[in-house]
Amino acid sequence: MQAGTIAAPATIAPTRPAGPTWRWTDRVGIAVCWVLGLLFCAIAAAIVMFMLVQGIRYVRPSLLVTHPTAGFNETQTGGFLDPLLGTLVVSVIAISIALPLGVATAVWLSEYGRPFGLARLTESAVEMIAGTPSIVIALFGTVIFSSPALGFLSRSSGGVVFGRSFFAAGAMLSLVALPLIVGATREGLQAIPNHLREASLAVGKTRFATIRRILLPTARPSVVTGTMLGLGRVIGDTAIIVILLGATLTFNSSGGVPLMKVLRGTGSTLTSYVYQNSPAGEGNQPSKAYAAAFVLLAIVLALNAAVEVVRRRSHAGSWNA
Amino acid sequence: MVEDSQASSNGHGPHFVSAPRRRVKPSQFAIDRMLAENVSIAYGQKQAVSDVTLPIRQGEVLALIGPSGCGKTTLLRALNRLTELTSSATLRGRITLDGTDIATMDPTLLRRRVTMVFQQPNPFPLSIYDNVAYVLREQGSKRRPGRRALDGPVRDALSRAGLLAEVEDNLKHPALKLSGGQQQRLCIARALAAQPEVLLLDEPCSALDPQSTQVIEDLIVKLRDDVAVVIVTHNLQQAYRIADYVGFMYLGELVEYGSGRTLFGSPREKRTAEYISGAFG
Repeated sequence: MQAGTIAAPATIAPTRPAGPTWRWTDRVGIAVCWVLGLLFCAIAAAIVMFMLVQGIRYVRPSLLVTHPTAGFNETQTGGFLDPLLGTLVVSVIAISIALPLGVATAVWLSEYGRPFGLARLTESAVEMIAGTPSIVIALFGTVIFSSPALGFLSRSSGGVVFGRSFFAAGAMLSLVALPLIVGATREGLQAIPNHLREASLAVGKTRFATIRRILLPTARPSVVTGTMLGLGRVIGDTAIIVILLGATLTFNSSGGVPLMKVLRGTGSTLTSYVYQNSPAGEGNQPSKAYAAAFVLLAIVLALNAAVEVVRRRSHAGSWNA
Repeated sequence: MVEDSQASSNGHGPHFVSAPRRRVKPSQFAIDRMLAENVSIAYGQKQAVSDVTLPIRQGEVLALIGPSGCGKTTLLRALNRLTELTSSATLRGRITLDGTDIATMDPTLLRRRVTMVFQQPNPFPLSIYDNVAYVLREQGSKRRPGRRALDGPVRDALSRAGLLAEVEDNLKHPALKLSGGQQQRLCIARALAAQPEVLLLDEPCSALDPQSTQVIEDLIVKLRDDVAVVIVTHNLQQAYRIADYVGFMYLGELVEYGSGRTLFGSPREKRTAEYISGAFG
């Protein structure tokens, strides 16, 4: 081939002139998008700012380490140590149920998917749980945990099972986190190129070893993201706490076995504490409610920030040569 | 060889037949390792490979050539039963490894003896070291071998793949940070770590630059004494440069099988001659 056969492009396309060439429908559309976007920013900023201002006004470090007590004014009602610990206990129970269950379900759905009918059914079931309001899950939980067979998981007196305990609330809250964990893990697994699975199988690895050593570590950022999002939902849930935890102000243990007695007993979390102390609740101590809500918001925002960090870190490399 | 002298005497071959070959002389010995007998593979109703009979020998590089969709990759994948991962795939005929029907073998054991390297360099998202060590772990016994026991075999595999000198100082670095050519050699190291008898290569150079390709071609020719090498390639020049034997496949059939010299120099079949001269493909 001769050197001169490829002609250079005659002109370089001029850069698009700004502004006036847009059609008016497009311009309206963009304006709407801008307005909506700014609106959401404003709403989010308003919530955070409001809670920040109110929180800083009322939060005292001593509130975090003082037990709450019943009382008529703010100096008598103490802090919210018990609700804070309650949130922690409930989160640990819920995630330790939802994480293994969710990851196992996601692996089954994504990597095996057989028997086909059962897998599709499970998929719809998980979606249905995701769409169920938590108050409905809570109500369902009272039915399950009030049954005599599960009496050992909550307080009972004279054959009547209370059905309210950290166990009951944690187990039902795991259902709130489960769909998020299943969804994120599945997405993470499906984003792994198929040739990576084949590469592992082609050097004589079993499917199980491939999942355990290659696929799950690769999908770890997604699993973490799903877990954090699920945790955020668990921490923020109120309906299940109010109905299934009893929402007693302090830890109200049941029986004599250490740890077991707490888990079988009732208590409260930050959300039920906020509800209790809001003008709508029995306590009606708005300053305490604002302080607790501030702490709650801070925890959830910290979780979201952690998700973002994990996401950024996950872009470590690619297979595209 | 008689065939070679015939090939050089007639001038009908494609232009690259006069180009230098990477392999200078035939290997000293050749041992039959695998044998495909009347193998037919179908995906559902679609026939991908029809009635192929082919020997695979250690000491020789076998190249499978042919246009896209001719079944060469399917045939390759059938050799370590990767076709089974496609649920619609059915196989008729018999493939043996050292006389044993591979259908009767445990697939994980088979795939340790017949390992595969893919078109796309696909190292695991682990460190360079762990990519190779992963293959060696959980092998045979249930106990995971310790780090010290793995060091030797890992280095050995990396050096057989010609990668050790480049990565020796940073074995802990993530494998995905390597260049494409290095990644592919890491994949070859990974495939060699299992101490296989047969190495399957599915267009290993098609995603690589010419320099990396040359390094890998040299490597393949060097490896043929220890393992039987089967390479699927689109690149006729590549097949000519490195293969001792070449199989030309078209529409699922093995049209012609013969030594590299014969197939490129004086093909028996009209379709082979047309394909290697560029009439279709």
